[in-house]
Amino acid sequence: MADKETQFALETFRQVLAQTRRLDRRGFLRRLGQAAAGSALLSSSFEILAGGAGLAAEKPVTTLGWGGAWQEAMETAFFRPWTQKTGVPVQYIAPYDFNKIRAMDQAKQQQVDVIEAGSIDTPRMIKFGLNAPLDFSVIDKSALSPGQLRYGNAIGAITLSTLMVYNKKKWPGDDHPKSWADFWDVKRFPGPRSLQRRCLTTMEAALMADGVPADPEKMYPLDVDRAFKKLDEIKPHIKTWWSSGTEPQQFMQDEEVDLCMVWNGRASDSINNRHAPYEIVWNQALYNGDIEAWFLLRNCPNPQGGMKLLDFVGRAEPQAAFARALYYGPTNLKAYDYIDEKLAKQLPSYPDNAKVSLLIDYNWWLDHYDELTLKFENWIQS
Amino acid sequence: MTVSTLPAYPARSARLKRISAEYPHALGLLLLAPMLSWIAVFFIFPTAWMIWQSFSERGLQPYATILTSAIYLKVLLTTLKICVITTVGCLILGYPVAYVLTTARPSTRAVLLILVVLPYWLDFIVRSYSWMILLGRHGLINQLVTGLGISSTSLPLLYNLFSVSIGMIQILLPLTILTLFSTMVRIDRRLVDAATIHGASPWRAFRTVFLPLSLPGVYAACLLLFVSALGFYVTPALLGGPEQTMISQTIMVIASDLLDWPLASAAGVLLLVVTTSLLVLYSRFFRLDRMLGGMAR
Repeated sequence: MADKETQFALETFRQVLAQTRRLDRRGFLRRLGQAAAGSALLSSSFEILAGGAGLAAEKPVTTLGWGGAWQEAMETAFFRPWTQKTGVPVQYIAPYDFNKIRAMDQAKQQQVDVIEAGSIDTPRMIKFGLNAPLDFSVIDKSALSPGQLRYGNAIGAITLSTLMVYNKKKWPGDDHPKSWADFWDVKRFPGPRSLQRRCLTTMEAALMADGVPADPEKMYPLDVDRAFKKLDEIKPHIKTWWSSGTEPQQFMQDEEVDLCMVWNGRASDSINNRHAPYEIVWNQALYNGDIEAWFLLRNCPNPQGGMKLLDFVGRAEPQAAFARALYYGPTNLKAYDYIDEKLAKQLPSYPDNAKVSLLIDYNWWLDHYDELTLKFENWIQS
Repeated sequence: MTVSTLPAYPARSARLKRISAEYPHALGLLLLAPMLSWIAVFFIFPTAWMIWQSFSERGLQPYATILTSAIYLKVLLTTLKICVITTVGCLILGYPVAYVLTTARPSTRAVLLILVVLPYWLDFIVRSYSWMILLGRHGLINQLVTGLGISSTSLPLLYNLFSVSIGMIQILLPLTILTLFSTMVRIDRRLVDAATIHGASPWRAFRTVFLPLSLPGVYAACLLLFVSALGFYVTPALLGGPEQTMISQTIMVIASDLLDWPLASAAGVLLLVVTTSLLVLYSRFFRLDRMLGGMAR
């Protein structure tokens, strides 16, 4: 029965995605909300007719995630449609905090069922063994892309790139910054800059600026001393180092800096929906690849419900809807069937973009992240 | 200490009278019980747990890490520096306002008080972001400065000590004004009048009579401001550069990015130790009990 309902949810998605190809993000979200509400009304009236009020009393599935626009997109693309079809409510807790997950696990009081782990938290999740094995009689493998199943007990989620944007007002012509070497070239491209306050990504960017090619084979293991030497060069020209994703958006909208490192979804959101006069440089983007994944947590309160939700979140249609809302790319390659060319070009997993990006080696980072974070913090404050 | 100073209330019945005679502190304890249990559960227990956590896994090693690495001491010093600047800035800006509040007519005072308290209801993050809009490269102030030709390039107003201090001062100013006001309003104005009648200039009357009488309020405000400023996180993160990193930001990185709880706990314990020692020193100099006891004695 659940399977039929999932199919019905996916059908609704397909219709909405087909009808809204040309709408902007807001229009699309509104239309999606309407469709979901309409079908909810439909299914709840069916319930009443059938005399089945039991669905509403289902135990909720709890998830933990980032707030704001992220939560809005997660709920519209994944949770609300799934709830409307299965009757299982999803409880969304923000903000995302991997620490909390680990603390609850250690206290043997896991209260979260499902999470979408961000960047390095995916390998950490597996390292600490916080996740539960998946039941592939519930989760339909055939609906997924092979890359989504790389970990065995996780479902590939979204793709994200950390990349560079430049101020189009300042460099309107063809002679604009095109690489990290240009970002470092303060004579040819003068102006204030901003980088992320994090060793991961910033060190790779520095090494690429120093001539290391965007190739994981040649990049890892990182030449730490060389990276810090290169970072020394740019430090006086960095107006501010950001730590949260909303900061670079603010910089772009206020034109606070002319060159900025930023997450691709945030960049597209500022450019498309908030009129920031910037342009994305995909060359040498720092690409997460299919690292990020959905997990079911061990000893969680609602493993059955969580498992069913995991059958839904990896599928092409909700992933396409999420990409539409927030510009983070799908790991399910079938999702591109529902995404038009204009949007596809703004996603990290789009082949032309992925080709020129550097795939981050999180396995290397897993062993070096702690030590380098301290080193980086020490460097940045001195 | 507080318990013994509570006045003995007249007991209604003979039984109560007997109980209060046998246990003179019973009423005080009873009144304090809800707060004491609150503090025990939500402050003493977590603090004890934090202290235990800092030693349990790796012994003294987290403390050694902190004390031997230059970065933590630097962050701690930065934190103390920003706290002192904020406290002094708040006092300089807040004292005159509090003074005016005490002299204003009741209707004017009500309006002024609303103006003082209003920003306090706004979220920290909202206020910090508003400063970004004001102080930014194309912000209001820089547009004015470049527009009027005062400077040809925009001034670096953001992401430095200046922006962090101004942001924190704005957030803590209502607290300063209210604390100072509550002391000043209880000062007997006839003492100032007496001084002027005896030939003191208004300035001299203020300096020799009003100012000394308002000092307990100033000391109390200093303490409140300093302790509140120590825990700031959002404002330095949004308005500051790396040089303005405060200790709570560092603890946050250790705890939630590096997942190193023993180290984060040790950093927290050290902060607690430093703060407590400062408070003890402060109370030695400024008679903490007296200023918190108010004007009754």
